[in-house]
Amino acid sequence: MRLTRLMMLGFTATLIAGCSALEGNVRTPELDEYSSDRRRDQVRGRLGGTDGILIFGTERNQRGGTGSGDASGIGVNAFLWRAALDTLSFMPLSSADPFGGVMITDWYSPPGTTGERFRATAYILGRQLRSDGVRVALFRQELRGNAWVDVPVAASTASELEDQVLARARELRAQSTAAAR
Amino acid sequence: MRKILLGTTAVVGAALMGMSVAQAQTAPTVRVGGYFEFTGGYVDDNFDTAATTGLPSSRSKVDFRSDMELHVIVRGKAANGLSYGAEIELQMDANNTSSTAVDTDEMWGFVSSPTLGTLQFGDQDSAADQLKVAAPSVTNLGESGGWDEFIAPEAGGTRYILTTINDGSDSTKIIYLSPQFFGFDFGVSYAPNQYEGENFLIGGSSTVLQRDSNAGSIRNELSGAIRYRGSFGNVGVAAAFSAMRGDAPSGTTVRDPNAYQAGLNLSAYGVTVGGHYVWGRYGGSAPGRAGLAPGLNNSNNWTIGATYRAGAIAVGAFYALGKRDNALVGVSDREQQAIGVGAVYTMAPGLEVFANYTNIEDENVRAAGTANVAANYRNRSIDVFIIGTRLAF
Repeated sequence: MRLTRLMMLGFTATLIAGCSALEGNVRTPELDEYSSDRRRDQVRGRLGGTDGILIFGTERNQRGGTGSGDASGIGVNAFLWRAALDTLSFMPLSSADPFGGVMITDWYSPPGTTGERFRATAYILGRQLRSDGVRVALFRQELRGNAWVDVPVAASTASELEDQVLARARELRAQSTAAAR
Repeated sequence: MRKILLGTTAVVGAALMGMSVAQAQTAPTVRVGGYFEFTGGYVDDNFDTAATTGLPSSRSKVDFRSDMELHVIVRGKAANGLSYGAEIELQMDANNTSSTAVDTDEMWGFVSSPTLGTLQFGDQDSAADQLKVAAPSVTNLGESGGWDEFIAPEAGGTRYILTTINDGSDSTKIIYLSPQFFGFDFGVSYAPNQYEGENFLIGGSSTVLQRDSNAGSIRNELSGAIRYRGSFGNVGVAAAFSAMRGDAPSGTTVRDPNAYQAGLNLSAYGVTVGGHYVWGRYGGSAPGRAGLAPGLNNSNNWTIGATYRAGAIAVGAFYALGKRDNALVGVSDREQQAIGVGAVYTMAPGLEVFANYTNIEDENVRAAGTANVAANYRNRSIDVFIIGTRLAF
């Protein structure tokens, strides 16, 4: 009896182990994974980019619909990217890499101040529209004598800029969803 | 003991249930899709001569053809994770004099669970057909690709006998398609008879009453298939075995139909090579769709093909050979052989231009309208070149 129990326990353990292996290896195939003799299915891609023209409902995978960047041809979230561009647009842009998600501005002095200048670097960290998907680093220099010297920036300034970017991204997303309705 | 068993079941059950990830409900969408196709063809067929057709002169060699389908695609997902939807496909059909009538092709609904598989119901391809693996091809090239639309059928009403299991029969049925386990999945389907659509019983006729056991050419159609898809190193592998059987209508001497298909595809670096072999107790062009008269040999056909894709260009080639018993003493089996090469250029996503050439050698066939005597069985030789465009949206 004890032996039977032990065997049953062993069997259960094997099954559980098997199930954890199942998790990555069991799924229901999508409908487009089956053999189809339809002439439409032989054509690669679709005019208009989506599988059929939406006549009722909300577009979920439209270009920019989630801003995932897949359809828009950029490597990071399209909303966050646009929002960061908008937010930092008051400074001259020195380089922007939409695939890596890096935006670097040139030095910029606010009007009326000639003795200090700012430079910002924004990183978009992924394809998802998430609040931790953007990092902004801000650098500040002061003119002392005839040389620019690095000066620390209040940590809150960078996070305020991040908030601005996120608020703008939210706005863009809302506009896009409204347009798709 | 019983407790342990119950416990085991519960644990396994929990593990299986736990696999379903949190699903968000998705409001249903309705889309309209479809395609339009234009094809120009040049046909050189030795059955097009005045002597064969009985017409005053030979058929002309050039023809144009247009085709379209409109699909209504419904999709949604319930809060419990079940996907559901329907597809209604409207096609051009040559069933009136102008060949411009529209009727339904497939029309079916489904529910799908991430852990339990998919259930389809309606006028849809059988499980054996949906899970089959067949020789690779590019748009409008293949054993029964674009070429056959341009030629006249022989006396038995077929243009080609080179085809795959069930050859697109959409009889109203139910289909279950399993989840995929470690690359393996399977499916089964059942259709009570061969009819599709609204199934309106027609009174006063003993041959088209769908529930009559003597109506149609196949009843109680059961099909199933098992498929494997995976990759080893850089080589993708797809293999499947499909089978189907049915009952012949009552009151006939025809033997019950069955058909089998085995297929394999290997792909790497843009190249796909593969083939399929179809065999069973059937005649005509569609494997398994009708039984075989006593005394006739079983049919078979096979195809091998290769395709290569590089960017917007795809090229392909195939070779196919099929055999059917001619059912006439003194006449050998019909043997149809096809060889084709072709290319496709994707101008834009959804817009393709294709061109291909197919040579068909059809041995021991009889031209339509000629008497069924041995003297009328001849060898038919056809060359078809087509060029055209297909646009999908």
